[in-house]
Amino acid sequence: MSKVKENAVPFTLSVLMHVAIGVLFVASLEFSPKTQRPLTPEVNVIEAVTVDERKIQHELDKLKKAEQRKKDEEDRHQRELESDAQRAKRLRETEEQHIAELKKKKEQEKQSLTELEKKKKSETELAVKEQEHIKRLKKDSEELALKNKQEQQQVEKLATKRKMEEEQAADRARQEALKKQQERARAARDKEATKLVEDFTLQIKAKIGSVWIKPTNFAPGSECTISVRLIPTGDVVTSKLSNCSGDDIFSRSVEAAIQKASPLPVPKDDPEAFNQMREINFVFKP
Amino acid sequence: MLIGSSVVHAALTIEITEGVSDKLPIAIVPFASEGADALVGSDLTTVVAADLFRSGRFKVLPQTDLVARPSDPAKVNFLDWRLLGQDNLLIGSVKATPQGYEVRFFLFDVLKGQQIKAFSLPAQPATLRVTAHKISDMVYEALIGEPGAFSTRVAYVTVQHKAAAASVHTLWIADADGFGPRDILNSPTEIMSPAWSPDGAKLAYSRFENDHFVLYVQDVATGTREIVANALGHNGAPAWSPDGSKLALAMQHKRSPGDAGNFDIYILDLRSKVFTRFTEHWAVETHPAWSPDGRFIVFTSDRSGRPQIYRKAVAGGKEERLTFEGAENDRASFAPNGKMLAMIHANGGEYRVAVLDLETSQLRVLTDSSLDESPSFAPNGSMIIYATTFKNAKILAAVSVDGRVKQRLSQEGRVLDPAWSPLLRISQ
Repeated sequence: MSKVKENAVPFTLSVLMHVAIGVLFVASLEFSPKTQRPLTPEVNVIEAVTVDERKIQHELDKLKKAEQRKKDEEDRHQRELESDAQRAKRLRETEEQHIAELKKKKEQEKQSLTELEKKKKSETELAVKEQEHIKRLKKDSEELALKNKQEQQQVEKLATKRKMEEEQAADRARQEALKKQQERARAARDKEATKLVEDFTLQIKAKIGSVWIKPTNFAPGSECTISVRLIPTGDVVTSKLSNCSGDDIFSRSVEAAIQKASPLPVPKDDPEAFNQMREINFVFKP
Repeated sequence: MLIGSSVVHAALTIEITEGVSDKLPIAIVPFASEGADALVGSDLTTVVAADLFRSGRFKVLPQTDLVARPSDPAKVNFLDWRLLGQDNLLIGSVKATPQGYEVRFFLFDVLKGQQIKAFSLPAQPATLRVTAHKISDMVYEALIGEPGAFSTRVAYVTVQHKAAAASVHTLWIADADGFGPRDILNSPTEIMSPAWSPDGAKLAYSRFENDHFVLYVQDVATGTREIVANALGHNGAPAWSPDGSKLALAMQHKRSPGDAGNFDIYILDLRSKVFTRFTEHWAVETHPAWSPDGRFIVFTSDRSGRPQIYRKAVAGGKEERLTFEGAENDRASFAPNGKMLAMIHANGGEYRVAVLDLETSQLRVLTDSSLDESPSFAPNGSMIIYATTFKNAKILAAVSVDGRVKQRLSQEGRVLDPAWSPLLRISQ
């Protein structure tokens, strides 16, 4: 299509040339110069030179004979011409119109081309833009991806960190729980030890009370403290009197009571409880 | 990091407020005889062991349980005695000397492995019992903390019915364990209520003469005696004031031989011979006892219908009834510390020795016999001597103040009215 459009101008020109030659040829053969109507003078001159004499005689005869024919012909031709002119005119008009149309078409084509180009250009631009856009998008996407990746990494890092923290927290919680458990266990042990100590304190009290032969006539308010050390069997290894307000007999009775009560009942299976009883101050206070 | 177990515990404090009133375990090894009769040492320790046992304060290890018989302190293995559960150990020896014997003894605290007392005293064969009682006193005082009353004496009266003849009434003085009786008065008529003067030198008693009881005071050592109260009617139940200057006594206060009179308590000042009426009541007041601090006199009165114990300040004042338990309470005797009264407590027809705690008003019956009479405290308050009926015989008996040890002190004849002497400084 575009090729056709491109060759439209030379084609139109050749068509016009053929038409003109045809017309002149016809005129030179049929009409005297005086009747020659300067359709296109330059063309007639050239044609006249080319015709020889014999031919002219012949022609003249012929012309005479032909004059009539010619005349008829001319008439007919005139009519034809006239119709041709008309036709030409119409043709011309048509052609002009055609040319105009072509022109218009060409304009249109040109415009269209321009538009096309423009469009193309814009398309290109668009494409470029798009490309850029894509590129940008791609870049964005890449950035985003990177960012995502980074974020992902961050998230993972955070997750790892959190996990670590959680683990640490769990660890701490575990340790705390363990510590608490130990503390509880210890408290329980302590409590148990305390209870044991209380139990054995009562037993010791009872044992000493059962062997302490209270002097019959000690001075009122007589009081003796005796500090003893025990070994885990409950045996009294050392005893020491202190703060004794009673007389010799009173203090001797106290010492005798400790001696006789030894070994004292002590918790044998609980070193912690025993530790609390390793040293005892007995206050004899009847 | 804290390590709990490294906590250092403060010493535990345990208060001991309760003990037992148990007897003290003592092992008595028969004293070795050195150059003397082999039995001298063992006889001596037998007396000591009996003394300590009778006091109610000691649990004497039977001789058959003795694991060793050391006489030398260096040879004592305390562990042996500890294993036998003995707290104390007495060893000693009797050595013949030109003058008689030398008795040495060692008293140990077995638990501490320490010597408590060691003593050497001369002795004579005739007075070995006295020496033994002295040792008992020293052991008692060392372990109990109060003077022993073994070197004391008891006075009592016996009645013997001689065949077809009139009965013989005798006033005796014997060692506190009943041994070594010595008669200080024989009488065809009744002798009643001997009472030791606080210094132990004299005895007051009443004796029936003619138609009534007359009050005598007799010097124990010399036997000299004098009538201190011879009023119409009754003059009896003497009680010495703690300073020995006065006697409280029961007098019938008859205005004339035909007068029925009325028993009341009078106080006789021995120096001025002045009688002071202490009680004035229509009821019978008798058996006075002077408190050791000299401030009160307790006596028996039947003003409530039956005999009960009353108390009145010597300085005068209200008469206060002390006994409410039982049908009758009679013959009060003060403990040396003044905190208790021993008495005869009658309930359901049984007459038993009882003690009344004057601080708590608790009355505790000590005996389970039925015809006890005349309780009298030992001068250290550890025992009470009394007369009782055992197998139809009137005998002398002793009970520890806690009632756990009772012992019959066998005597000839019917024994009446025992009185425990004060602590004496008996010469050899």
